[in-house]
Amino acid sequence: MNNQEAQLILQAYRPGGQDASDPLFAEALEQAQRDPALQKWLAEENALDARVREKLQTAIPIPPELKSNLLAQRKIVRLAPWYFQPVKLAAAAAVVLLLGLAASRLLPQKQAQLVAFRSAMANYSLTKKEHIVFTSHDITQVQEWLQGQGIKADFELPAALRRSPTHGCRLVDWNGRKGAMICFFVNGEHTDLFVMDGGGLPGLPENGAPQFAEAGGMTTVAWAKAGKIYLLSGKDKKTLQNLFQPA
Amino acid sequence: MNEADYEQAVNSFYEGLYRFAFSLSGNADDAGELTQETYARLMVKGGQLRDRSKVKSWLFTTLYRIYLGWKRRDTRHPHFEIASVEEELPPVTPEMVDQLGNEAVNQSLMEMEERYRVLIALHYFENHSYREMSRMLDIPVGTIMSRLSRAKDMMRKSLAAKAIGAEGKIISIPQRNEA
Repeated sequence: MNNQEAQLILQAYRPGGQDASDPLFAEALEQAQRDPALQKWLAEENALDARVREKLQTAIPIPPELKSNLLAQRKIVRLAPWYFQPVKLAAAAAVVLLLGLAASRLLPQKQAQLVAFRSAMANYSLTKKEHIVFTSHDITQVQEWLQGQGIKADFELPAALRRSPTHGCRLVDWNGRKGAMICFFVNGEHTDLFVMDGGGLPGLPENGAPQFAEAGGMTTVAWAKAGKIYLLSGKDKKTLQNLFQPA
Repeated sequence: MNEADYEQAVNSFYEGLYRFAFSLSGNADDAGELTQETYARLMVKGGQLRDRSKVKSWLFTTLYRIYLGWKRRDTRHPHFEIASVEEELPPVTPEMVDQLGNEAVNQSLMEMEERYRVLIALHYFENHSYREMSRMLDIPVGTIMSRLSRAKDMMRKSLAAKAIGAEGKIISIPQRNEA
């Protein structure tokens, strides 16, 4: 091994001692012990590496909120195993669809539409693939993206929901009506908001009280305001109820 | 993966992971998103990791794969050309590096072609071994070594050029002896 070969190998050597017992470095290190010029080069190399490493690490500052966001994510992702189990997911989706179909046949027409709407939106909530297509923690960016997709994003949201960070959004469709689904983290709970334009629904009076109901294992709450239908879907009923408590 | 393991993985690696993400994407928003997505996957799939000592490699490999997936899907990530550097630049020294501002050092990194930038980031940010890099990037060990050597050389030339350009009037440039 000549010095050039030894240098090539030693450039990957970590002076912290982690590579000291690695046979690949043994011969090159022995050569550095024997050859003062190579030894000097290695010392300079290590000193320069340490300085570049230190400089690079300070050159990219870590966002102060990143760590707390990552730790908070534990609670949010706790929902994920449900989403990421295809068999359970398919079973839940099938149940939701069957309930929706059954409801449309058995319930009075005006109730059936609302039940079918809840079921369809709960189905979106349970969908893993492309659960969202635009990612942002900023509701303003989400609204801008939706407007770019032709969705009117002049939503009137409960104050507590508006203060919660978003995860992203996607477009949804119900009987030809286009709408938006926006994922929020509400006190660490994954909560999906659905908004549809084009008037209210029978059984969901304009400016009426929010109506809670279960759909496909999800708690949903629906209301209508200013010609839009709103529906929230989440696993934790208490979290949804708290959104409608007076401040 | 339980909460204690997850928290330990965040505490131990999130800074290096974020810096690696930044070195790939070139901006703070995407770097934050890449880091969060990587940890989200750890929560979901971390249970499959039998050897907890592999968490670090798993995180960096996963982040890199997510990034490659993004790149395939869209073109939002800018491509940086290698900065042209003079062959006859003096060798960079620790003192010259000290004199450079953070932005200049960061710029030297971001100007590099991605295949070199990835190695510099893995080598410097989290002190990965060449064997770990080989596994993460699925590149033979010999290629890692020669490419890392080339990457360091390019990085140093870029730093030297910046040191002379930015501080040429006040920095004396001591000669390094070549072995």
